Amino acid sequence: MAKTVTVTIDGVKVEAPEGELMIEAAKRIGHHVPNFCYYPKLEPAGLCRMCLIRIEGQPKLQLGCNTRVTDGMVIDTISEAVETGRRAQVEFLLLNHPLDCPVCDKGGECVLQDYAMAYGDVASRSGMPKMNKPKAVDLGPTIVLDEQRCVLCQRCVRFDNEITWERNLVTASRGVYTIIATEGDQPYDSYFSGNTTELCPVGALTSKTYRFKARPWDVTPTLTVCTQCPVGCSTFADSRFDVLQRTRYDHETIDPHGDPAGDWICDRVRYNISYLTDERRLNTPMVRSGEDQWVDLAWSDAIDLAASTLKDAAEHFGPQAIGAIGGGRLTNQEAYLLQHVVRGLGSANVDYRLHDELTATPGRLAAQVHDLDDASLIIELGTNSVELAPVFDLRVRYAVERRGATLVHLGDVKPNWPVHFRHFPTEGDAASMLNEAAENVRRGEDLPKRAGEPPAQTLARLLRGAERVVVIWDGRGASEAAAIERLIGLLRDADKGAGVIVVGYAANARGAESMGMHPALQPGYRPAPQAGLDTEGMLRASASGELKALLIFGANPLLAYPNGALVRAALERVPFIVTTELFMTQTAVKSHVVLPVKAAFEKTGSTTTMDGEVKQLAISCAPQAGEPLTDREVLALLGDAMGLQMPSDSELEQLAAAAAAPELARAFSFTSPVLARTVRPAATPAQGAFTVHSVPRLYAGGGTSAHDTAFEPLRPHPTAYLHPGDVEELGLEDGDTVTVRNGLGAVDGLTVVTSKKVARGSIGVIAELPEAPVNVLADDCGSVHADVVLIRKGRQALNLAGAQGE
Amino acid sequence: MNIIAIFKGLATTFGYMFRRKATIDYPFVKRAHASRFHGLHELRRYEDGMERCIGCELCQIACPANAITVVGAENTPEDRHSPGERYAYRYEIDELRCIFCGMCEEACPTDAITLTPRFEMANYTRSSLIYDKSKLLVPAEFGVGESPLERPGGLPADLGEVARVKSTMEPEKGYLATWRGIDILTSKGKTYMPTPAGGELVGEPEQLKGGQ
Repeated sequence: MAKTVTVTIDGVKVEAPEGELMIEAAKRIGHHVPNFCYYPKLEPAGLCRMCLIRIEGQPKLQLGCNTRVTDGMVIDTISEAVETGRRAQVEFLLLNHPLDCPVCDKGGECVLQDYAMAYGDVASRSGMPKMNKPKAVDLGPTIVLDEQRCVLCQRCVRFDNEITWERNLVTASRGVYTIIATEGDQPYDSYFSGNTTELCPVGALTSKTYRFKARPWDVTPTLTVCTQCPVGCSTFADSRFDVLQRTRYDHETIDPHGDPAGDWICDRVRYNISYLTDERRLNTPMVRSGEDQWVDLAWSDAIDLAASTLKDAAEHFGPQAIGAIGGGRLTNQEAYLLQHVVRGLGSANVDYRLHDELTATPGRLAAQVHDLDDASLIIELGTNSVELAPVFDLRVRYAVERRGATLVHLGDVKPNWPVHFRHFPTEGDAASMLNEAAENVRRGEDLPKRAGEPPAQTLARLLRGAERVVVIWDGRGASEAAAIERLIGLLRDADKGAGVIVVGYAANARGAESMGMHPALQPGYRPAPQAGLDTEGMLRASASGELKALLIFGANPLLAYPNGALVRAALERVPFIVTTELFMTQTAVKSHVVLPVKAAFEKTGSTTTMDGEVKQLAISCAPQAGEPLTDREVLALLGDAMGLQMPSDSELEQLAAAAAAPELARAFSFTSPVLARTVRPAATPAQGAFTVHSVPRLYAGGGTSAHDTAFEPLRPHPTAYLHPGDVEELGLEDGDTVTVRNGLGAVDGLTVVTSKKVARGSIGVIAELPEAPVNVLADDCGSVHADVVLIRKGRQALNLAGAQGE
Repeated sequence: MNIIAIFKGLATTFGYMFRRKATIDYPFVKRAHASRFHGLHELRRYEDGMERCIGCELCQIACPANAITVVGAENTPEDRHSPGERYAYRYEIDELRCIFCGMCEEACPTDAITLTPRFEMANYTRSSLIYDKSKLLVPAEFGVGESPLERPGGLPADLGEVARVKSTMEPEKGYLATWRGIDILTSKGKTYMPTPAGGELVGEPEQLKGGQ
């Protein structure tokens, strides 16, 4: 407990922790000290000199954001001297600030505007013309900089240095010529760039997607949850005319005393929003007639068709001939209803797992996200939290850079971390390395450090030295699950803090699991009496013709499922597929009935974050065309049409809340034998010189990101990452276009990027890009091999060289 | 009953037959009103044809009747509508909602939206009274003032000029401040204006002096 001191602020005695900044101490009596550069989540900088405060006994005004309180201090935040100082400072800032508030996107929520009203004069005393710095400078794919408006508080630069650690932004030039620039004039390319527009106290940094769309007083803010990744960030959705204009994070409302590391939002939710009004969005239910012919249907006809066919299939072929695959888009209520409908028909074939994962719930081995803050060792196993859970990753970075935690990555492709970390290549077998290290720790032998020691030994030494260990896992692999359980048990026995955080692939994976969208689990993690088929099992049954009807709700297995050969064969074979989608995705094209549904911003419901917290979605906008329903309404209609006993709305809310209870998740064990997945038969890998790894990317995907014209510039280009040695050996260079192919298929149009992040003999291909789906190269065999074929030399080469051998 | 009283009364009545009429022959004769009269809006232009409106929406927020809807968009070199970065992609005034208070005119930082002396806007449908840019913008050749394309900040040099011109006791002079005002002055044959300096005089000037 920190020592408290007593200070007198504006005549009021205040108890404050010793060393607190004066600006914070003044908040305790509700006195706001004006400031630009100070931001509670950033380190004090003392740049704008707006927060002038008078300290008794000191001749000059002091900075409130930079001076810490000591016992007996007498401070004035409201006095004539202070006012005079602030007036002078505002006058100084306004000397070169343009008078374009009417066209400025920040106008109405601008700090300088407020202070100019409070402290500024009506007219400028300066007769000099204002400095003419460039306007609308393109900083990168997302951000526009207006150098005239910048007050050089450097909040953006500090955010980029202290929170993301990416160090893209710098200040260039000096004195009055100082501007914000990017390092090496590279485009400002960050997953968190949008946060700088919110940090900017003036209208210097603005979002390209929100440029001149609305003023702050036009929009109706709604607090909702982002459903693009498992982190589940609370987000304000601002809409005008029932159309979502922007999403933002409001620190003062959502998280007034939040810690610096968490609670930002990433650019996926900030800039991937115009898919909601995209003209490619599905408007009306459709049924396939013929190969590529679709006929529009009324909702009642579509539901009747789906319900009667499902019922017929259940009657003729038995309920086991029906299966359902759900995706991360579903809310908890929808997940509950989906499994309710499937189980109501007598089947237990229902699953949400599309990425070979075992689980999304860490259960009794869980660590909470904030445990990262005092972790001394963070082990990331296989996953890539930079891409899968970006805002969560900020906390990892904070723990490493600020708290000195050691970060270790076990996996095949080195992640893009801007912080210090150690990468141990596992060649697909992280479990045995973890086991070996755990065994080493258990034996307790302290081997001397030496160069060239096996990674497991280094890992063991790190584990022995660590007080608190957090494992970050993507939920894949039974052997990994066992290794993690063993390691955490071992560490916990040694009275060390240890736990695992599962960073899943689907956004509401944890909610889906708790709602029983799982072949072996009923709602609330209750083991099902008779386990059904999991995703792999369902696809196998489909490919062999046993599964007659498949419901696919909010999922795109054709693009996402790693076993590409199987999912292609399965979707060709199933006689009846019902899909709910926003767009005509790869899977929807293969189905027989496509039902248009509402997006996350258009519906209510709850979703479970990776930390187990249940958050509520709220309706912030409405579909602009057609008549989409929510998945919940679709399932309710389907259930009613099939004569199933469906819970009422209030019952459903209660059932979902009960199933999402945190104590149920805490009692869960992911190594329980009931969770066993369908094992793929042993297969010989396809011939190929390279091992192909699919590299996840935050902006990839075949749904919302592929159907958003404003987001198009941000989407990753199909890329093949190759080791420099391999690039040289193949006679390739950066920018060449190659095809990666094997006996199963080919991925075309990949641009070569030399990267030491992949090992020699490996090739990294961005996963889940509809234009270059990497899963076409995969079949039952776990490891994927393929050859690289040069198609075209050079980035701009127009003469097609044709396919050349290696 | 006094028969004389009846004749006295009738004398007053008949007396009016020989006096000057207080009514005018509307719509053939129109009464001039103060040039600051709050009538139908117009959106002004600069002399180079650029729209003055920068789509800032200040009129929208100033409007006490919520009659105005503005949606901004970005000017591009190929598609430039106004000086500066922003223009009004959509500008609509619901004249049925409008209470003609003139707050929009006061809020406008570029003297773009202006209320004119024109008061006749009756129509048969509600939708025809939602005035969009096509109905509000003055023709390109009626632009006034130098466009502040090169000036940082983009404020027009003649800011306040329209208000100054309108602030006159002489309607005929004040009408010149707006395109619709000029239109009233110059449209011949159907309307009447009291202009001592010229124009078609149909009524008698003193009858209309100070007329509201």
